[in-house]
Amino acid sequence: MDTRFPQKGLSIVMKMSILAGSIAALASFIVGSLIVSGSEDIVYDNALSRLKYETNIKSLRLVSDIKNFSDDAQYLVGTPPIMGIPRAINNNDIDPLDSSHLSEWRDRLATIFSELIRAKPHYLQIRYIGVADNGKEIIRVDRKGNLIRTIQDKDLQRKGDTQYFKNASKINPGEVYLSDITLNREFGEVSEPHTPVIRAATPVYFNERLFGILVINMAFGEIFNKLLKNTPRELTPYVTNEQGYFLAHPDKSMTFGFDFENDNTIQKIYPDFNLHKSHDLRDTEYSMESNGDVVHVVKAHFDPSQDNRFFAVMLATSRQNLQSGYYHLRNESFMIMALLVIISLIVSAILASRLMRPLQLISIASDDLAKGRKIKNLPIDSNDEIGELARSFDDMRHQLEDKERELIISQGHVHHANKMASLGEMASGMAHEINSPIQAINLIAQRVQRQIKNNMSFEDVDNSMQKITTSVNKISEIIDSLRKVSRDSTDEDFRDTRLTDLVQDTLNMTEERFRVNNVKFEVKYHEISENLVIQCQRLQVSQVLINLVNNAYDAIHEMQNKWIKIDMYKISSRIRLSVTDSGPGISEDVIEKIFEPMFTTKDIGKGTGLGLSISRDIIATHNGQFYVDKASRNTCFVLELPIIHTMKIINERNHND
Amino acid sequence: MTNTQKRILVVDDDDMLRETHVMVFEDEGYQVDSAINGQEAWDLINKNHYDLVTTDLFMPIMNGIEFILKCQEDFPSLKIVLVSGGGSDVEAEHGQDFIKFMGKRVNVDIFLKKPFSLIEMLSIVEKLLQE
Repeated sequence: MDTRFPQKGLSIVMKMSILAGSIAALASFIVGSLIVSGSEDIVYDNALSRLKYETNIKSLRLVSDIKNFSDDAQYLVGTPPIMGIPRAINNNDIDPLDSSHLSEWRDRLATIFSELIRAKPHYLQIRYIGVADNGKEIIRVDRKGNLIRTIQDKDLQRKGDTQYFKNASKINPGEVYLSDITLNREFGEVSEPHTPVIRAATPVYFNERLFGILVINMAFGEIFNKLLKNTPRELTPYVTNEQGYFLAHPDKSMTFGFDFENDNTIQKIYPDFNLHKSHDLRDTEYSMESNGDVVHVVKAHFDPSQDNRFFAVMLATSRQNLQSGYYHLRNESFMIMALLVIISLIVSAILASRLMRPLQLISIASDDLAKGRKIKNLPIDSNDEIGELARSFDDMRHQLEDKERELIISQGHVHHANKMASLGEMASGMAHEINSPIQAINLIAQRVQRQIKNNMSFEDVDNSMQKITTSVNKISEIIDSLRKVSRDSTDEDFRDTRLTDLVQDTLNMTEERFRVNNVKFEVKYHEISENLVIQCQRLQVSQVLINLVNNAYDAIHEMQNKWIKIDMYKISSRIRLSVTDSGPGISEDVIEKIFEPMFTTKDIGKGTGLGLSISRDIIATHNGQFYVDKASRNTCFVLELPIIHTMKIINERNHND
Repeated sequence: MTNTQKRILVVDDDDMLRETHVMVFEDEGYQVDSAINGQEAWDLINKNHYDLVTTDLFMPIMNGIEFILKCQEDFPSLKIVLVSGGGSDVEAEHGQDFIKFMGKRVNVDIFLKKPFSLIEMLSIVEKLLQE
C-alpha cells in the first residue's frame, strides 16, 4: 500500500458518474416536471372532452332512435288504408274510389301494421284509433313476446280519454306527438315486467275533419340497455326526464320514480344539480361537478315541436378518474426519469472509467517511476489532452532519467574528487616514500661512477646494481598502488577479495606516514582467518578504509598519544571492521551530521566534507552498515559488510589456478 | 687516508638509503655507524664519540628534530647534517609545520635537501669535519 498518496473519499470515476447522474436527474426532473405540470390541464381537458363526446354520441343515438320512430308514424299515416278506411266508412263500407270494402282496407292495414312490427323488434303495438265512439280502436296489432296478433273487433277498446289521444288530436296533420317514456300499464296498473314505453301519435284528417289517430308503442328498455351497456367502464351513464327522474340507470330500481311515486331523481345523487340551469334550451350541454364527480349533461331534444321537452343524457365519473390519465402520465414520467438517471449513471460510469483509464495509467506510471519500477502502458498515442499529459509525463520521465544519469556521473565525479583529495592528503607521505629510493639510486649510481676508477670489485658493483634494482622496484610498487587507488572505480565489479588485501591496500597508502609521524598503527584479526574472502568492490572498500584512517590521522596527529587500530570480527555472515583512533570520540550532535555531504570539522581546504557521505554510499551499495560506535571510549567508526557468498577460505598455495 | 680518525653516525629509517650512506662514507675512509631512528642514534651517541651526524627528518619513535634538539643540548660541538626528502612543496610545508610544532629553533650545520649529489654531500661533510 502506497501511503504517500492516501485515497481519501470517492474516486474521480465515482465523482464524475455521480455528477453526470445528478445532472441527468436534475435535467430530467425539470423537463419532466414542466411536461407533467403543463400536461395536467391538457390531460384533464382531454379526458373531459372524451366525456363530452361520449355523452353527445349517446344523446344523438337516442334522438336518432326516436326520430326513426316518429318517421315510422308519419310513414304509416301515408299508407293507402289510412284514408281508404274513412272513405269506406263514409260510403257504407265501400270505398268509392276503388270499391274496396271496409273490411278489405282493415285487413290491408292490419297486414301493414304486422309487417312493421315484425320488422321493428322494439315496436309493441300499432293502432289506428277513430275519433268516433270515444276513440274506439279501429285496427290494433300487438306483439306478445314473439307473437304478432291482430286484435279482434270485440276486444278493441275506447281510448278517447288517454293523454296521447288528446294531445295528438290537437296537432296539425303531418305532425307527430311523442309521449313521455313511462312504464307500460295494463288496466291502470304498471305491467310486469316493467316495460318503458314511448308512444308516437299522429292525427288523421278526412275531409278536413279529424278522423282518427295513428299510435305506435315502442318499448324503450332495449334502447336504454344498449345505451347503458355501450359505456366505458369508468363512466356511469344516466338518462333522466325533464324533472330529473331516472329513465335509465345502472340500477334499474332507481328508474321511473314517477311511476312508483318515489323521489329517485338525479338531484338525490347530486343535490346541487339543476337540469334547467341552462336557459338556452336548444342543443344545450354543460358539465358540472358535484360530490367529487364530474358530470356532463346533454339535453336530447327528442320532440322537434316542443323545445322544453328533452331527455337529460349524462355521463358521470369521479374527478379522480378524469385525472387518472394525468396520474398515469406523471407516474410514467417519473419512471422514465428514474430510468434516465440509472442509464445516465451507468453510461457516465462507463465513460468516466474509460476517460479515467489513461489517467489511471499515468498515475500508475508515476507510482512506478517513484518506486523505480519499469514504466509501461503510458497512453502517449492518445490524441486528446490526456495523451498530451501522458507525453509530457513521458518527457518528464526522460528528463528525470537524464538528470539521474547526470547525477550518477557527477556523483562518480564527486567520488573521484574525494579520492583525489585523500590522495592529496597522502601526497607528503608518498613523496617522502618515493624520494628515499630515488635518493638511494642517485647516491649508489654516483658512488659506482666514482669508485669504478679505483678498481672497484665485481662484487661491489654487483651489490650496487642489486641495490639500484631494489630501489626501482620499490618506486614502481608505490606508483602502482597509487595508480590503483586513484583509478575511477565507481563501476567496479563485485569480486572475491581477501580481507588481508583490503587492509594491505590501506597500509600501502598510509603506513609510511604513520611510521614517520610516530603513530602507532595496529591491525587485529579477532578469531578470523586472514584469508577470509568477502565479495565486494575492492577499490571502493579500500577507499572507505583509507578515508577512515586518514580522518583518524588528521584527528590525532597533533596529540601526544597517537594510535590507530583496525579490528576485524566475524559476526555470523558479516564482517565487522572498526577503525578506532586515540581521539576522545565524537560529540552526539556532530554524529548526527557527520554522514551528511559537505559536513566537515576540518579547516577550509583540508577536506571536501564528502568523505563520510561517500563512504556511507559505498557501504550501502554493499548492503552493509556504516556508523559511529557510540559505546567506544575513543573515536570508533564501524563498517559492517556482508560476506554475501558462503565464506571461502583460500589456500594460498593451492589456489593459483 | 686522512679521514680515519673521524667517526660519523648515519641516522635514517630507510634501509637502502642508510646502507648507501654508510657505504659512501666508508669509501672515503670514515669510521661509520648507523641507526634506524632518533632513539637508537641517541643511545649510540651517548656511548661513542662522533664527529658528525647525518639524520633524516621523519622517523618513527624519535624523529630527526627531536634527536637534533637533544644533541644540541648535550653535544654542542657535534656537526649535524639534516637530510630531508624536501623536493615537493608539500613536504617542505609539512616539515616547517613540524618544526613549528616542536616550538623551538633548530640549529643545524647544513640542511641537505633531496635530491643532492654524492660529491655535494661528501664535500659538505669533509668541509664540516675540517672546521
